[in-house]
Amino acid sequence: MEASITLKKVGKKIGDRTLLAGLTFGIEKGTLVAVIGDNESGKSTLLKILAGLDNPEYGSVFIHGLDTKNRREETRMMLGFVPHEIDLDPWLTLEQNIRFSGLLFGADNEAISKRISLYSRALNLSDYLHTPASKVSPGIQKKTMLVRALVHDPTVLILDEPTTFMDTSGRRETWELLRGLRKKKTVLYVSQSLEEVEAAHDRIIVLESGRVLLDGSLDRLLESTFEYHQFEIEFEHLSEELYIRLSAVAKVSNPSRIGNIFHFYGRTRQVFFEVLKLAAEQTMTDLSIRKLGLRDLLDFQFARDGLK
Amino acid sequence: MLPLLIYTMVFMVLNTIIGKSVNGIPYSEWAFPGCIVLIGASALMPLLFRDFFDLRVHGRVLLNLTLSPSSKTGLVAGILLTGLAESLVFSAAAGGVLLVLINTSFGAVDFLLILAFAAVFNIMLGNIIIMLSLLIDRVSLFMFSILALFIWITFGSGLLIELGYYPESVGAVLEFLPTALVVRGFHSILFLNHLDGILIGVPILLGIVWTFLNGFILKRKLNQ
Repeated sequence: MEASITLKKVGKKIGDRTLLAGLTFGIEKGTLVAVIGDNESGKSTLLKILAGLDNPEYGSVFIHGLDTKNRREETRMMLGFVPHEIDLDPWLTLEQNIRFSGLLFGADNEAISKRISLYSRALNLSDYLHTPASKVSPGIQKKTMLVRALVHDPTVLILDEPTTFMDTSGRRETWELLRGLRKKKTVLYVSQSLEEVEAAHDRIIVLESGRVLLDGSLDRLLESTFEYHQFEIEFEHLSEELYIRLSAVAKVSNPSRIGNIFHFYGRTRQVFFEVLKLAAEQTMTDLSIRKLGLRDLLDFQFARDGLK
Repeated sequence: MLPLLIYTMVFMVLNTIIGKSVNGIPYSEWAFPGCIVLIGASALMPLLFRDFFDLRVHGRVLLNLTLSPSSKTGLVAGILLTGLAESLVFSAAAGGVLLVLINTSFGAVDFLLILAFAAVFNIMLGNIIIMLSLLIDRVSLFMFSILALFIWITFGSGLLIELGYYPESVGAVLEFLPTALVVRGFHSILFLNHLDGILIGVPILLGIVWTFLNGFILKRKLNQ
């Protein structure tokens, strides 16, 4: 499959701190790719470099095969970027903000009008188009920023937290639009909302300290954990002795406690019943079993050590 | 409001104190072009402050503009010329009000010349404001610099106080500063009917070079 974005050993440092450590990967055309990771993992730096707001210290970024350093103008035309923070001109109306950006990118007025109408309808934005940016909610402004990024019809969209500040319906409309753009445009986004990432992605890249820790579809990332479940038992009183006894049960993985809650992973449900049997004399106030998800994978200790 | 303020401060007060220029021209006549330029400059300052300082330090629209394929010099020139056009409208309107309030011998052609004077002066001034806006990141320092700049252009460029009134050594330095060159050049046309190509040409050339320099600074400042 043809690559839309290609990174070759892209690195960035500030003083002694490594923000990106020689990243090398490609992103296929027309895919929806999520980049996730803890704070300071390098997500925003990566997006800024891809969008052209920052330069890598070493390595190269290619958009549709063109080096962003040497073919800056051409690659800029192919990119649409939505930063995390609201950056609209507060004194201009939403439409003026979008139109101004479109004109700067050389789009003609008719095409701009058509796209504003198309995308603002999809995002339920039409009623606000003639309102100054300072007079609408941050969620509406964020939607406007998405339309602004789309107005010159880029083939690659780089989005930093595309649904921040939005209410539930706004999030739904935005993801419907982005999913609809799949196949036509390559979308790379960063999000802290793992539920959204689980629901909308072709591929997930997990960054940690500027390196790619995990890369693949959700199913593939969770492949090694398919049989695992996460269990929680809340006791009225969880003594240290009981905690040690329960932790020692064979097949109990990664046991931990938070107050009176005993938390562990297990490959089969059988292990849960074994733990329950051992703790039967104690008063239990709550039980929970759930399959592992992206959040577990992102847990620093878990991602690093896996299930022991 | 600004023309009335200028009328009160300059034509009612300074006129009484100064009376006549070094060359014997009535002060109200001599100061009129400078007042028009000053009003244009006052209109230009907030526009450039907003686009290059306020929006930049608050991470607003300027970052997005820099992502467009347009050249940074083109962006600087575009914003400067838009601000200039707006400031000329202010200058023209203020000039109209002042012409009603004071007696001058300026005709329509002179008035157009004064607007051209305002345009060249404000290209220089605009570039200085843009440069300060791009190089300074702290609001307090920026405000201090703008205040110092305003005092300098008001009193140290020959707009309201003729440089001949300064001690010789100070005047000699001030009259070769770029903004003073423009003022001297246009005063020479308006009051002596003499066109000095160097006094007009050098500031225009300097303004163009300065715009390129600001484009370069913008590029560096925004990691482009």
